Amino acid sequence: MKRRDFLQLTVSLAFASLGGRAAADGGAAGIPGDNGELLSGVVYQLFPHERLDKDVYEQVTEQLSGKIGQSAELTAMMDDALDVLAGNGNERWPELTQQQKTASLEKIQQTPFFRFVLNETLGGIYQHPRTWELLGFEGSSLEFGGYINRGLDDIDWLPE
Amino acid sequence: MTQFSLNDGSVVVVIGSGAGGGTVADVLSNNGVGVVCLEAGGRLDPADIVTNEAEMFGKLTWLDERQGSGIAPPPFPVWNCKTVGGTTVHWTATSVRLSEHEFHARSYYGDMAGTTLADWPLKLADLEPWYSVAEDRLGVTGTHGIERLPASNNFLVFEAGAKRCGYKEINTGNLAINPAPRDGRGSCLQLGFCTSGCAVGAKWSTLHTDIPSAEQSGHFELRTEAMAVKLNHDNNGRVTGVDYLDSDGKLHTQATRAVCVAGNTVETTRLLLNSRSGQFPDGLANRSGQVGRNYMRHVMAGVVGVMPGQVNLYRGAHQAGIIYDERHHDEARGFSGGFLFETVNFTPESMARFLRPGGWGKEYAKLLEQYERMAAMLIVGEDPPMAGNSISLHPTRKDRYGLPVPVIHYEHHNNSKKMLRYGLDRGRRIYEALGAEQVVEMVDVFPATHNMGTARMGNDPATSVCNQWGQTHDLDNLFISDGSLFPTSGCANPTLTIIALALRQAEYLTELIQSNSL
Ligand SMILES: Cc1cc2nc3c(=O)[nH]c(=O)nc-3n(C[C@H](O)[C@H](O)[C@H](O)COP(=O)(O)OP(=O)(O)OC[C@H]3O[C@@H](n4cnc5c(N)ncnc54)[C@H](O)[C@@H]3O)c2cc1C
Ligand code: SF4
Repeated sequence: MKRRDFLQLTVSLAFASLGGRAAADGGAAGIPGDNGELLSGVVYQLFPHERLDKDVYEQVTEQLSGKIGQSAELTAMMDDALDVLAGNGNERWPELTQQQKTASLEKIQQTPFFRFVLNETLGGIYQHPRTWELLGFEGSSLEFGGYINRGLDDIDWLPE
Repeated sequence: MTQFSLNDGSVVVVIGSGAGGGTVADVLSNNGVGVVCLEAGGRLDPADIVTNEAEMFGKLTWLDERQGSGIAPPPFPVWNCKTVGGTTVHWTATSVRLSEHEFHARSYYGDMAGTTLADWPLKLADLEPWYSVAEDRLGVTGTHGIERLPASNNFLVFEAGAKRCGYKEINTGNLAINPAPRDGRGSCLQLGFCTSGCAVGAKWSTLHTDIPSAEQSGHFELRTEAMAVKLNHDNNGRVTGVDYLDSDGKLHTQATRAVCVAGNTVETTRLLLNSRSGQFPDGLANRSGQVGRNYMRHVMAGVVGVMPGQVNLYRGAHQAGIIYDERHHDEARGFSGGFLFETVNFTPESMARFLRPGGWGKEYAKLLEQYERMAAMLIVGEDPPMAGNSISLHPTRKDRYGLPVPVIHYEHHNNSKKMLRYGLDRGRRIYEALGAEQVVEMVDVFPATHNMGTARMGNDPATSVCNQWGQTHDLDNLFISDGSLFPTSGCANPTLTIIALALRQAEYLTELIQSNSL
């Protein structure tokens, strides 16, 4: 894929729908072996919310692997990027310290692959109802008649 | 449903069904003038509008390729819609008039180096009656005896902090959103998803009002998924027809008496540039060389405060809060022109995307966990026109219609940088006055939402594209009906002014047609 096409792809994904909902179906088996493990480690490190159910990260990783699996370009980019991560000494990803994980991700953060994963992960995590619960976002209120009588102006800490 | 034949040269062709196009089409058709409206997007049913930001983004947005350069975000420089109703399906409905000085920027601000500042060829008094009609049509709160919307938590924080900083003119704004049912539209339930399209129709959009009203006139035909690609002209300085592609990619030509182009600046400009000909080698109506130049998009930045208690900023209409105190012109602040503070909402996803674009990692996740306690506002300020800020055609890249991709180039003028610094500091103080634990500035992260200037009005054909009616100097029956007309941007969100100009233009055009002078 040419760089420009790639940017274009990220745009249509940017802010938007394809991220969260679209494709849990595509190749749920995902990426096998070490790469799969590595990818799920990366997904968590991007937005590590300690109190967020690990299921959410697993779902996001699964959708992500599905998409990568369907594209030869993305698969090739992933292999390159994950080689850099894996080549970071003899430790396997789960055994790295937090600092080592961050440092190795910083090495690939300028790559198109990293940006693709970041974009997808962001959409997947922050569109997820479990994350909304964690952050205190109540989402659609149409079914409850809006926020007009449901906390629109319930603030109680403002000084006089 | 009314239908016109392709060779019916008596019709006015209106390109775009958003704020400008929807308004012009409604007035013309109800004046008895036949109108064919070409709209590149499809038409959503009320049931298609759901309170889900990500899903609606996919349904509404113009996603064909565009390129940004300078500080315009490269892959997505401009945010607007491709759907019946245009970006009024998605907008946040702030409807504020320009101030007197903003019609005379050149006279007030003087000769600002590096800019192409100009006075408007009309003054506030000329537009006032049309503003009033526009406010009535849209049902703008705080005008025509319409109440303002109730305060939300985000507004209450904004207001309390602003008062501590000495600001006085603060209210829930002038919004084209019904606090109570009016004009066949329901009342706002404070759903907080205004940019997904209003599921209850409380927010004004040409989709709910002007287009149905035009359809009832019996003089209006809407063609959806109809992308205008070229304007044809004869040797007598008249547009004769509009080439457009239908949903199957088939090319048609609609004959016409006059054309009103309202494609939302980027597309309006692209259409003129793509309609170049032997007589107009630099683009149609571009003898002045000004088409595509002087592009403005407002000084725009965000301020997010992490407050000591819960705010839940997502509850309620997006932009129901304005501080007006900084909108005047006062060189003592170190810059010319003024700006507004406006409240704004973010969902968790849009917060994660814009708070620190490209951000990731533990600290960022921790910051986002403060979502409930975040309050947010925008700064919307006047940006001076500059010749180099422009919309042009990419030399080689084509979009899915086979048209050259538009390239949007935008840089800040020094005046804008000073205004930004001042505005961000004042915004920060508003939240700090209430004990904010952290304040984050969002600078140069948003795609443009307000687009202006690339077919400017003026009295001199050598330095402007259109006259005060939006009629091009070069072709009598070619009109521009969107923000491209603005010689300068002022600091008010542009749509109310686009609509006031469109109303004025539509009556002028009706007169020309009915008196057979066109
Ligand atoms: C997030 C957001 C919030 C906003 N909030 C506000 C606000 O609070 N207040 C405010 O004043 N403004 C706001 N705006 C801006 C406002 O939406 C625009 O100023 C306004 O809609 C512009 O009107 P228009 O008629 O020029 O274009 P649009 O409303 O965008 O309509 C243009 C239409 O033309 C169609 N079109 C384009 N090219 C062609 C072609 N070649 N052939 C056929 N059809 C074509 C498009 O599909 C579109 O439907 C906001 C914008 C955004 C993105
Ligand atoms: S907040 Fe009000 S105007 Fe906005 S979408 Fe909801 S009901 Fe409509």
